[in-house]
Amino acid sequence: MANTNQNSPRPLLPGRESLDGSRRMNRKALVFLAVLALVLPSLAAAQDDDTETKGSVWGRYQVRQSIEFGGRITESSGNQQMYDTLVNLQSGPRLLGQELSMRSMDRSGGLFDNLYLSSFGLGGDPNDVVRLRIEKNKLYNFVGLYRRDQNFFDYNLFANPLNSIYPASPLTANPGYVNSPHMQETTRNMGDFNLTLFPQSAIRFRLGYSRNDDQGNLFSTLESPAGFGTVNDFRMRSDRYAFGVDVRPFKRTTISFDQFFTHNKVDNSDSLSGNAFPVAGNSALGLVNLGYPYAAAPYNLPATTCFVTNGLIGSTSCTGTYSWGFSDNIRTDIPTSQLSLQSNYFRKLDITASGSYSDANMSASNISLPQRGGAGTASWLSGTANAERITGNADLGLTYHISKAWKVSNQFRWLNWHDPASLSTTTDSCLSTAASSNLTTPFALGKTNQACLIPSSILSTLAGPAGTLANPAAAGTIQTGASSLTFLGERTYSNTTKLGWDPTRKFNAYIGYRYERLELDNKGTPDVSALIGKPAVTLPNVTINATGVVTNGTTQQAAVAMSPLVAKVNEHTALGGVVFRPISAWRINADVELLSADLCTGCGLPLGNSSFNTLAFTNISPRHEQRYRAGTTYKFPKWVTLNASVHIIESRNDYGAANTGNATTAAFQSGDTTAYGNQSHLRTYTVGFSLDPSRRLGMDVGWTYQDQKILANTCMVLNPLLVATPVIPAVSLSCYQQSGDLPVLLNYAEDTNTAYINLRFKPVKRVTLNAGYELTSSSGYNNWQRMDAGNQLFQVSTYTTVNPGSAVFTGTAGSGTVGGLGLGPNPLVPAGSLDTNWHKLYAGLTYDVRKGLALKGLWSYYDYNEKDVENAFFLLPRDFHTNTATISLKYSF
Amino acid sequence: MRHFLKPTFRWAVLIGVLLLAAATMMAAKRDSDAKKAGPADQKTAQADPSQYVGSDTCKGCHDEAGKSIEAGPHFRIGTSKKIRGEEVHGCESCHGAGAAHVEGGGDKSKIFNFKGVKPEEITKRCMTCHESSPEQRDFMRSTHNENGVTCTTCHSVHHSTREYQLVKAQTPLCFSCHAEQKADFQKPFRHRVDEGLIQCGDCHNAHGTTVGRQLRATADQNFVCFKCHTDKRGPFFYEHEPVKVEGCSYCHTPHGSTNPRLLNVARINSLCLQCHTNMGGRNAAGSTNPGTGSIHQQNRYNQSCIICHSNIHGSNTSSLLFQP
Repeated sequence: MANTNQNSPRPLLPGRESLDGSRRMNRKALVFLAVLALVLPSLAAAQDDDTETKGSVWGRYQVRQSIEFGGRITESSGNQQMYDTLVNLQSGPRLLGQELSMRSMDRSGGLFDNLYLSSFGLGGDPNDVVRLRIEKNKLYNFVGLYRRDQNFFDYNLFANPLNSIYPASPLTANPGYVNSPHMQETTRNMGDFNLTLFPQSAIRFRLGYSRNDDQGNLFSTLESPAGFGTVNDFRMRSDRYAFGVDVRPFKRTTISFDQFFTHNKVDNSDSLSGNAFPVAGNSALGLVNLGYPYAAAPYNLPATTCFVTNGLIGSTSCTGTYSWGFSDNIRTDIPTSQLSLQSNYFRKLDITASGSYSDANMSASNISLPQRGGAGTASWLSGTANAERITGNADLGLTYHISKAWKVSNQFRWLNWHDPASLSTTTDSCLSTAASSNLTTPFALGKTNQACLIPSSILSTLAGPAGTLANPAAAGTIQTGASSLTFLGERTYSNTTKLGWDPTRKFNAYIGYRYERLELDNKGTPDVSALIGKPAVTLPNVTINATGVVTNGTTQQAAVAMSPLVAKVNEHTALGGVVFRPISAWRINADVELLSADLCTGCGLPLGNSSFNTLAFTNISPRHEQRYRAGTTYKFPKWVTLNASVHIIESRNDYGAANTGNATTAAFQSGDTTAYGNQSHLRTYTVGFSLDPSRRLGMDVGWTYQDQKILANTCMVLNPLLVATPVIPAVSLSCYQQSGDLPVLLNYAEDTNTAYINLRFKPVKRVTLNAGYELTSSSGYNNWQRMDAGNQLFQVSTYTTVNPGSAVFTGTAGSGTVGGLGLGPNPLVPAGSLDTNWHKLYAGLTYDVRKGLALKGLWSYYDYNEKDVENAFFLLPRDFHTNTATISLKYSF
Repeated sequence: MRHFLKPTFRWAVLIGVLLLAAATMMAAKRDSDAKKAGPADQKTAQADPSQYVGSDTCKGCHDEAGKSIEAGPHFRIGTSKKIRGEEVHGCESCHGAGAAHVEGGGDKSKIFNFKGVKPEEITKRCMTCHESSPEQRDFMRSTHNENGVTCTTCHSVHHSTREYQLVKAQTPLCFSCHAEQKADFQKPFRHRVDEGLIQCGDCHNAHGTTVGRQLRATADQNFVCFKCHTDKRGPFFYEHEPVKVEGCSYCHTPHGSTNPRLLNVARINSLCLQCHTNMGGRNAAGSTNPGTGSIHQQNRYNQSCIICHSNIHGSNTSSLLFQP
């Protein structure tokens, strides 16, 4: 299909130029490379046929090196953003691989005995890796790893605010957009460096440093009631330092101490993006569809000159937002101390134990959120937030070998963490006398005749039409202060006991029991807010200590009590497993976990109502879960391997059925036939075989089928204007104390078939051929059904598309019929990933030109295809087809 | 069903079954022979010092095996007398004292042979030295050990020149048993394991950990995902409690998925609405599961909850996890 980038409201990204021109060039280059690949082998036919290199000797070292240099040409058609999201291999020269190995022949090298350095992907691929390993026998051992990950993600996969819908019945939809203003392009650089000193001595030291640096731009939108594009300049860096020492005080006993320190730094800077949503107020744009209907109650409708009917912004004298920005600086320090013990001092008893303590401190300073919206309105939120995460952890593992065949093990784990946090903000709002078209909410609090408190340095950044904020000093102003506290904590106790039986090498088995208790503590104050006015007065001096106890100082308001809300969940799990080896070539293993949780204490509907204490932590946390796994591997002869496995997870939290017919809460009506609560299963079946008869031939084949199903009860509110019968129930139903909401059932299914075949063939000594094919095919549905009748919410028989004639719309008007498959309540949501084919093919040739020199060619094909019928009509599919050709020379010496 | 009734197919199945049975019987006989030749006396690594003959004696017959040890990281057992305070005896550190084996003219039953013994016996041999390593100290309680996976399943001290003496490169080695995960990593949205950016060992410790799925954890016992996805780690003033309590896998499929952002379902709202209903739900942490309220008309706009609630993992400014 044609490239549809012209639909995008943002310009093409650097390096993502139009494909039309490059395609011709790429084809020429492809032909050239193909000819080169055919000619070079014949030129080299008379060369030495010894393809192995033994490297060279540098002093006391045996040295081997290789370097693979080449280039890639990419030719793509279809949705470029989708290709970049899934593959992102672009054209250009590359250092495809490099290796250096130095080994001291007599273990008496100078600075090191062994050195190994390797890398791949350098020069522009999205993933680059460099590894370095150096060791000197008794002195040190160093491992370094550097990784770079370029992460492109088109959020159009989830939603596209440009897809609009008219509030009319029958449903009328616009042609869809392929690209959206939602996008991420970040690059993560990661480094891990670990040094062990005196690795063979009774006392050894470990030093480590890790760095994670993630930077880039995130394009998004802000909504309600209007929308505009934003860009987030995202910068995150984490530095982690580690020091450890292992001491061996007794035989077969090691005590370790580790000290870690992590410093995280996140800087956010948001602003309106250069290619922001075209908002009214810019006369050059004229009539523009933002893609959203204006918000209904409780928002007040803005002046009709701003929003005309059908959700269009039609006036040039009105705007949603002129200026907006956000910034903060988040710093987190996480010091952690850990003490560990491992001992086999007693012959029959293995002991491992560890304990750790951590006190993380987060400080978000310089929070600044200035914005200017509507006619003559401006506000500025500023403040600071602080949070701690105090963690204590201990575990103890004991294994007692009763006899050669029997053993019993016990693993106890305790984890206690709590996050006390505080937030203090001030919001200054200034508004002009012309407040009739205010689009923001603070003004509902009223206004006073004070001077505008927003500092001039901030106010000057709030651009807008001249004169709109005509007289700030005379305008209304308001200052709101807020101080809040939260506390979240968890205590987990887990104990697993297992009895193992290992009578023969052909058979072993275990049974066990795990008890886990989860205690959750959530406390918090409501926002302690005050309408301050000017001059500002002291905010409530509320503090919270590490255990969640609130202390109130001199406050403007009465002390706010923190009500402790403690919930307890007890889980019991039966464990079992067996391994059977009828012959050494055949192995069968199976294990099972059967979990059952008690009724959650403190999780009722409402809290404390014992008749509804049936929820787990969340609706999707299962109170009953069964996991079954079985697998087998059979090797005969040695070069043939057959394998198969089954993995089944069945989960349910059946609060729905339990609550059916309760008149008090009426979450579900008597007679509901689909009161499941939340049930799901994930069943995976895998078979495969590999043939590896010789170095000249190999084959690898596999197939996996995955079946996912979710049945979940929920409630939702629907707009009756947009739905056709029989969606709005004839008889009024209601969810728990929410009349007007509709009890519905999410009936979700996703079936995925994954298959692959890889072939390797070496017909003659110098030539290696390989080829392969991978397929992932998914299908399913995302149905929302009325609980009482079972019919789907969105059953639209006919609809029409429109073309308003604006330059924004490029689609063609039409009409059609669509079924309910996969629609869900909102047909504008891209559903492509639920119904796709994803193909990958490759074929490669390696020709050993002469000793140490190999010519390599690789062709790859990527094909993403969205099969969903309704998606193809409502929204354009995001298919792409891409060929890549990689030619390289590998020189080993 | 008609396919099954075809005579050709029936014959093919019958022949296949017979071949499988024949192969099984042949392999069983080979096992039986191997067992007869197996070690009658499984000596432990600790023995009377006079029973050690030294590595040079071993190399007299097992020259290739000796060279392979000298070329790999286990050369240390031949050059040191003690490692981490424990005595080592070259080849006999692993195979046990060899005097009886030598005196018996190479009698295989007089020395520890790693072939044909119970997996846990192999494990114990290796753990004699490796038990003190922070990476390996939990192996005895690991899922791998419980399922009969021992050290020599993945490592080969005599035949491998790879890092950590693995029998294959790490990723294909793990996939050789975990074929289900191999399929996950070829899905359109996946962690870049096939591309070589990360490896199984970055998130899992094959030698066991104290938490499920042999998962690693951050130093402060947080989820391993936060090692790379640091900005989601917090702590935040407004936490999304399930992120902290239940973990990432309640919403994401970590290996690979057909759904964007490795989500468990294809549509964001179908995930969020399972908990955030208007049923007045209250979660176990005591706070309410905020319902969708009357303004979130699911058939109108709100294509994706995270367009507005974009700080879904936690926020310092918005209790509704808005951006920002």
